Amino acid sequence: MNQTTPPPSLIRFQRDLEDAIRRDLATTRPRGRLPRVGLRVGAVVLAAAVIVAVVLVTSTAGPDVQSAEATTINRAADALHPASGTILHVDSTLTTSYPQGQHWSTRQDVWQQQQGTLCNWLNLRRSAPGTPAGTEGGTVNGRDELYDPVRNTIYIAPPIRVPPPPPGVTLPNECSYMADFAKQVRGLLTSGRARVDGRARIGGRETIKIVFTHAVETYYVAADGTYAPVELVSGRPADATGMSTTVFHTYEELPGAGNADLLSLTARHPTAGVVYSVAGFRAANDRLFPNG
Amino acid sequence: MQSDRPTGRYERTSDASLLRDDHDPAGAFSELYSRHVGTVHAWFHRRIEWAASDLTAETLTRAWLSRERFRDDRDGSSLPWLLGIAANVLADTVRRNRIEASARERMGLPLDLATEDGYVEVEDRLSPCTTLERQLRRLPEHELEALELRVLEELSYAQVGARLAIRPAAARLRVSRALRRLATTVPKEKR
Repeated sequence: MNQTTPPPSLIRFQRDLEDAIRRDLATTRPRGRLPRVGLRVGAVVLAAAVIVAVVLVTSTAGPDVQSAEATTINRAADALHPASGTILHVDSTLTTSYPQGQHWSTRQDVWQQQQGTLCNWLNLRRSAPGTPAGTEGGTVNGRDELYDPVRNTIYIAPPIRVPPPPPGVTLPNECSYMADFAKQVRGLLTSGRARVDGRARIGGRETIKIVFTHAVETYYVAADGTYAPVELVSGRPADATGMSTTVFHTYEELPGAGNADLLSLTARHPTAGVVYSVAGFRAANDRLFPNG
Repeated sequence: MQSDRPTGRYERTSDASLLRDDHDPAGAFSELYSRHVGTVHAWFHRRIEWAASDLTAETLTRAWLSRERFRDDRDGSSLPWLLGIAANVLADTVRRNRIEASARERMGLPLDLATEDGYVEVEDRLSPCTTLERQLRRLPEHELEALELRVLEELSYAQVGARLAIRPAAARLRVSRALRRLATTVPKEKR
C-alpha cells in the first residue's frame, strides 16, 4: 500500500500521543491484554490505582514504623481477605483529578467469584463514553456476556478455547486483578508503616483514617466494626500525574452457596431476550462501546 | 516511510507484540505509530486531503484506546486492523459531517492539525460531505450518468442501456467502473 510522508503535525502528534498514553497509564493500571475481546475491566482501574500507589509507597518508604493502633490496622488488613468461593461485591467510583482542574471519573459495580481456575464476574455499571446507561457485562462460566439495555437483550458468546499458558505463567483475570488490589492494600497495612490518624466522616459514614509514613496515600475504613474499605486517596492535588480517589460505596462478601443468580445476567433480567452468537456478541460490543 | 524516531529497539518485534508490550506500552505504541502513520495518512489523503492529518491522528488514538480488540489474524501485522479503524473514523466523519475527534478529546490531545498543515481558508476545508460530493462530480460524465440511472432511478441495466443507447453489458461496465472509483474515495457504512 502506498505511503505518504506525514506532515510535521503528525510527527509532533506522535510525541503528544506518547505523552498522553503515559499519563493515561499513570492513572490506570498497566493494561496487559485481557483474555476476552473488548470486555472492559470492572475492577481493573481500581486495582491499578492501588498498585501504582503501592509501588510509590514501597519505593519511597523509610525504616519501619510501629503502628500506633496495631489491632485496628490488622483488622483492616483482614477485611481484605475474601474467603474461597465467596462472592465479592465491590461498588466503587474512581475519580482522578489533575492540577489544571480536569476530572475523570468512572463508577463500577463488580460482582465476582473465583471458582477453581475460572473467574466469574459481572460489572453492572459498564460506563464508557458513548455507552448507554444500564449496560452490563462480564464473563460467567467462560462465556462472555453483555446486556444491552436499549434492546433489553443479553448477548452470550460461547467459550473461547485458548491454549494453555507456558508452564509457570499465570494469566491474569478479573479475579486476580481484584485479588491483587486486596493483596497490595494488605501489604500496605502490614508493612509496619501504617498508623491510625483519627476519624473522619465520609458520605455520612464514620470512618477510621489510616496513613502511611513517607507516602501520600490515605486509606479510610468503616468504623462500624467491619473495617471494610470506604475510601482510598492516592497522590496529592498538585501531582502532575493526577490524584486518584476511590470511593467504595459497597465492599462486601456474600456466601457463594445459593447466590448463583447474583452472577447471572439472565436471572437479573428475566424479561430480556437472549442471543447466543459470536457475531451477535461482537456487534453488541461494538454498538455498546463505540469508543473502544 | 518512518518518522524520525529510532526504531532499532523494536526492529524484530511484530505489531501484535508491540500491542501486548507491558514493559513500555507507550514506547511500543509509538513504534507502531512510526510504522504505519505514513500508510494511514496516505489512505486518508486520497479521500479527504485537508483532514488527512486529523483523521490519521484520530485513528491512531482510537487504536490505542481499543487495542484490547486487536486480534492477530494477519501474521502479526496490525495494518488491516488500523485501516478498519480508519474506515470507521471516516464513516463517522461523513455521517456527522464533522471531523471525528472523540478519541483525541478523551485523551486531551490536539484537535486541529489541519491548521498546522496550512489548511486555513474556508475553501480549503470543505465539509466532509461536500468533499465527498466533489469526488462524485469527478467521475467521468458517462459513468456518472450510468450510475445515476442505475442507483437513483433504480433502472435495470437493460433500461440504462436503452436510455444511453448502449448495450446492457456496456451499461453494467460503466456502473461497475464508477463504483470501483468511488470505492477508493468514499467510506463504507460500518457493518
